[in-house]
Amino acid sequence: MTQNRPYLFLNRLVVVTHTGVIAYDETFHLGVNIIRGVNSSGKSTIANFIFFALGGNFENWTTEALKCREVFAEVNINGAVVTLRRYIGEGSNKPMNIFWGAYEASRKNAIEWQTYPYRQTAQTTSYTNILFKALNFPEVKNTDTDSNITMHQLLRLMYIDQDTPTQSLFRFERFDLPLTRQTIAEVLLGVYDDTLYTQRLNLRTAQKLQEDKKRQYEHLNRLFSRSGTETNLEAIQAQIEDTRQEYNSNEEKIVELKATQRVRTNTRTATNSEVLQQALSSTKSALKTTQEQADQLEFDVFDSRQFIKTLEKRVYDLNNSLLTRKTLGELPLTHCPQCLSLLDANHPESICLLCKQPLTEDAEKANAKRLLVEMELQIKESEGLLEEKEKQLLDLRGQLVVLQQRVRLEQKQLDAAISNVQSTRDDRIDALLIRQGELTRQLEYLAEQIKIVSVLKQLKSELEELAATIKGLQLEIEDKEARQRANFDKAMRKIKEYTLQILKADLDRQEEFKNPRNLEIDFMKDVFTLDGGNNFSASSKTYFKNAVLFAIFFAGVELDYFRYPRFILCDNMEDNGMEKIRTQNFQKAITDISNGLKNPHQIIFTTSMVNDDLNNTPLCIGREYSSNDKSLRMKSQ
Amino acid sequence: MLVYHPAFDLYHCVFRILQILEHMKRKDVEVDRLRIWDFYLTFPNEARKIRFPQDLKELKRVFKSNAPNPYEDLMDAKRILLRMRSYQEAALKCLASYKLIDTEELNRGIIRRTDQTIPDEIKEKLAQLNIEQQNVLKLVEGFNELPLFGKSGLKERTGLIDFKYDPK
Repeated sequence: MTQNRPYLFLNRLVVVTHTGVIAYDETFHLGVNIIRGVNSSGKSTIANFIFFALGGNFENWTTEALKCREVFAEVNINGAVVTLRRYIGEGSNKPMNIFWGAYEASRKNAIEWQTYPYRQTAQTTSYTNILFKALNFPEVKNTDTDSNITMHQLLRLMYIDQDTPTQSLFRFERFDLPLTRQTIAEVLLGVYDDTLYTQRLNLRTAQKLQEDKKRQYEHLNRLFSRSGTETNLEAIQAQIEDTRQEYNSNEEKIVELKATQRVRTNTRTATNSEVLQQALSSTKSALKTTQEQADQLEFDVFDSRQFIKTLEKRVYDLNNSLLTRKTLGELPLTHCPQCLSLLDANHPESICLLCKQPLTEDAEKANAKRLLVEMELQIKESEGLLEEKEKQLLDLRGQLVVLQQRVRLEQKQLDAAISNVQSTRDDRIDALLIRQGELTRQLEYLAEQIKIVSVLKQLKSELEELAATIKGLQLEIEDKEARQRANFDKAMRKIKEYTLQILKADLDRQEEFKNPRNLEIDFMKDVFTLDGGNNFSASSKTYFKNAVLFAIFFAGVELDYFRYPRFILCDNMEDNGMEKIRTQNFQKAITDISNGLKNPHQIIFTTSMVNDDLNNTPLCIGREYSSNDKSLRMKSQ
Repeated sequence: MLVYHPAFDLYHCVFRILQILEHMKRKDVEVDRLRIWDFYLTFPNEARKIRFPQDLKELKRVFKSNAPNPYEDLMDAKRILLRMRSYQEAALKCLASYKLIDTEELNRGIIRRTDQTIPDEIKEKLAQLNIEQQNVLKLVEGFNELPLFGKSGLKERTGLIDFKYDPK
């Protein structure tokens, strides 16, 4: 999984009130950003605004926050400066407005903002889709639940707020599926691979198809072997060949037998019945030929009629076309036929109004006339032919009646003459004809067999192909899964390393932190333990949780394949009675690690007890807020 | 050999469009709807293949009873309509340049007759219709109420123009 290190940094945050006053406007930088202020001075409100502006779903606004109308966040996503805007208010799943450019430019441009909804549907793209694309994240498909991984879901691991209990890593959510948490972690840790998902799906489809085909194959095969016939294509073809040969030789025999009679008639005086028979068979064949001719002619006549009808229609159409051309030509052109703008009405008669060329009789018109003449000729010719054919047809029909009468008569005479005497020759012919009938049926049956055998053959080759596909997919999936596991293990080792480092940096408060050995994180269950336990004092729990979340962040900054956007927002450093000296020590530990990192990253945290070494340095953002001078200024200064 | 076909004759296309505009009961018509009507006026035999709505079942019977004619039937109606498109568009521009239809409306994809009169000579011919053409123009009236877009709209029922990406 090669990625170009996705990142998302906050450049600037602007909050505007309903009266249009800019209540907050600060710029942020890479590395550590500290928002300072006493309790209830609006630090958390700012943190929530950041979370919300970046795409989080936030509902529990303070009354102070609800006085604000909108929040702007100018962010840098993988090098692209984008301004995000969201409207503050009751209700969840608010849409996001996106402007592709800096905040200053966005204020002057009302048109190029785009609005994207929170949720994605079949027709619409959500803002998560847009931000994921900008971050170069894969689209996270989730078939088992319809809860897609959204920007909000990712931010749950990047924003440490105060409302979430200390035993959970993920920001609290009412309906929180284990699989969702697992997927969030897989996406951020760079383990999630959308091609793997597609391959798994392909594998499942291929396996199902294979089962179906196998069943079909076995079923056919069973039927076939039970009937005891050949399952071999060549054998059946040989059988067909044999049958056909016998059929042909029989046919010859029949012809021969029939012919011998004729020879005999020539050598001796024909019997009465033989004469009659001959007459009858010649009349019969004449009848057959005549009938065929009549049928053919009938078809021809019908065809010619349709042809003439179509031709006539075309002549009529062409006449209308010529008329349209002529009459419209007499109308004045008022608009240009190309651009439809109005034309100058004053122009000399002799030149073209449009191209300004001298006017002549156009060749196109002559061509149309030529076509017309040609088609009329064609009609005349076809009509002549048709008439001829119709006459012939009438003639043939007359002959047919005569022939039919004659056949009937001759048959009657013959019947009377031979009075059911059958010769040995006739017996043999009859036997041969019966055999021919049998052979025909056998040929039909064999043709049917061939069809089934080729279906079997087809199925077999399809099954082979499927097996190959499945094997290939399985190998690729195994390969990817192994890589995933390796990456995940590496990620977890790195996270553990950082966690232990941060824990060891703690003051001498919690016994277990002094010599920690093993860290376990289960993202699916949202459980994390140190050497098998997490039963520390309340403040130590907070310390431990922050250590783990910062460790994930630091690991993400360091490891290339992480998708974690190298941004963390922390608003709970002083929760649960954390001592001043302890939180300040934590701030220092974090800042030290941050300073040691080569890759660009951004940390934003809030504190009421800022470390003295860090206070009033460029790391601090904005004023130090107090209960008289809160973070949000509702009136313009 | 049939060398001429009105489908690819610009002037005949002008003639047909005028014929439709003269016979239709509405004030204006969308370009795509007019193109479909024009197609059936050119190839009345193709109307056999339309999925008719319930209330037009009488017309359906009329068209379904037409015998197939190898000289008239089309292999791929959709492609033919696509090929006719340039002729139809040129014909509309031509009509606009003679001020027979409204230029501004045409630019918005709507065809509307102006009060410019059609020369009597053509007008007379426009009124002459064989039974097949009369039926097609009845079809035009019958499809008047049918929406152009969407499922069960004119585009979908005739299968002549894609309807999937229509505005909603």
